[in-house]
Amino acid sequence: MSKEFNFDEEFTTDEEVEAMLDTVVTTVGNEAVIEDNRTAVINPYKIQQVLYTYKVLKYLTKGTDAKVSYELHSPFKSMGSVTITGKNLIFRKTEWFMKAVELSANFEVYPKTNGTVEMNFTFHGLTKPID
Amino acid sequence: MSSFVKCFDAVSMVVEEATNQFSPLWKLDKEKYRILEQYCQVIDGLSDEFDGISYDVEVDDIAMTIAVTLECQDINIQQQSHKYYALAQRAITFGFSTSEDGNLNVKFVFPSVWNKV
Repeated sequence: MSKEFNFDEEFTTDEEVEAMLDTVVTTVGNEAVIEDNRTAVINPYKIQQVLYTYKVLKYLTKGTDAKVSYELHSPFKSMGSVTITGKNLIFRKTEWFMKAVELSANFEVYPKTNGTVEMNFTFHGLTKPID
Repeated sequence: MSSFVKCFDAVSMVVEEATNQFSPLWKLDKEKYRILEQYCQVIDGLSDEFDGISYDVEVDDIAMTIAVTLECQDINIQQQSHKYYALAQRAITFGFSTSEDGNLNVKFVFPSVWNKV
């Protein structure tokens, strides 16, 4: 297997790095397209979890400059996310916030160049393949 | 950072100063202070995990709460049980903002460690 993937050989030019990156990105993209092309049904429980997270975060940030948004079936149909952006994100009802975190698969916070902070909750399993 | 600067080193300096300021009406509660030290150890763990850059500690003169801010690049957690969540649940408030240097400020506000004499 190690020979097949040739872990010992190192990149020697920029072109080699670019070529392998193109291959990797194309392969991942193709796999995602195949997954997206499979027949699937909506998982209502998971959609409800995204809805809860969106609504509870809107509630927790009410009266602040924070903007809360959500995306369903993006970047793939089985995925969704809730995003909060604001200059100073402060939370008091910690137990509600933690429930939102528990429901999501991934939680990330990072600073943006415009002086705001962005927080993302990512969800998987919004759809279930049936074939 | 965490190899030579510990969160509790910064916290203890600020708490000591505040204790002198609040004295003689208020006295440091050793048990509460010990719990705060445990919170600081968790924050040191967060600093290790998320490449902490600096700590900032403030005591609110009125509410007597203690705010500890960890500056780091970002936070990314891919598990439902994590020390960050455990710590946030013990804070009065927690939050995020951008630091002056464009990094992420992760702030926890903890309860007072002083009792009225």
